[in-house]
Amino acid sequence: MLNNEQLLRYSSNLLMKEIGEVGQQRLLKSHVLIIGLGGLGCPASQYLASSGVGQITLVDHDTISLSNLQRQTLYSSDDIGLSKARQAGHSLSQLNPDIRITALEEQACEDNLDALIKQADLVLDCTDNRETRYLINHSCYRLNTPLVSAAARGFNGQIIALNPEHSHGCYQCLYPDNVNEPLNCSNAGIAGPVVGIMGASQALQAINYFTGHELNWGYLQTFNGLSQNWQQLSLPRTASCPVCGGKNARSS
Amino acid sequence: MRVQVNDKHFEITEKTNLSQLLSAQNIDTSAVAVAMNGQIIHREQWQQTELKDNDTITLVQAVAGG
Repeated sequence: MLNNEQLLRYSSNLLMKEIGEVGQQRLLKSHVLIIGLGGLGCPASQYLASSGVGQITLVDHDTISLSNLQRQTLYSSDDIGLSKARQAGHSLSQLNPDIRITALEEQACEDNLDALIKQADLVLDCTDNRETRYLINHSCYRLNTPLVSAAARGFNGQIIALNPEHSHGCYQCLYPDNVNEPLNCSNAGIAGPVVGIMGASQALQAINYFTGHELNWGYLQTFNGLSQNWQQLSLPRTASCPVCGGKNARSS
Repeated sequence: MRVQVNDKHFEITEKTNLSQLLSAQNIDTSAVAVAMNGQIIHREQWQQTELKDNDTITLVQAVAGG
């Protein structure tokens, strides 16, 4: 049963048949792990906290810098030098004291990912580098946990929802080479609203998943912020993929 | 025959495969996903994927920022 304050706080969710009281209860019982609290993780965590996802774990080892403020909407000029995870946890608790937020000031790596992912119903990859993205993908497949991975650079955004129980490909199938891109946020720039749209899209997919709506698993969706076009490409599994192919395949 | 690569149209000869098209265009494929008619084609299949008239190829640059 929702209490009186929850009925008001979540009234806009409750009014929609797509969420309603049943959906709101499901959101309140869900646990999302958000890895990275930059341009993606800020809007993603804000929408999930305000929507009443009951447990949110935030992971980031980085501190806030002046150049982050162009797109990282949870932080202000007074926060420079402070921990992103702690500051985000603080802002989100003020936004919604009704939910449980755990802020971890640590770097997601091989040693801690399995333990973090094990507790979560869904993982949002909001990181800023390929190495961590491969590790998150691998760990989610090992633990059979669904993953919504997004990324952005310049005016381009990408998002893909991966479910290890489905037969589509994984992040390793999408980009099999562990090469660093020649361009990243620090040297190529990034349009604030574009990364914001991708983060909001991750939050929306999480809400849809928690409330029982089917996601478009295994489709890479790309967004062009200049033409405002979305494009959708299906990602089949690579038979030889070391993460999801061959003997590692959970489904055919 | 004609194929489309992202927004551009190209005239190519019969029996061209995806691998040949990509090298003829001088595309650095180390950080790119390649899709044909809406489906991503894995690298190991590029050579045996022969192009047909009006095929649409989409190149997606790997992006990892956030």
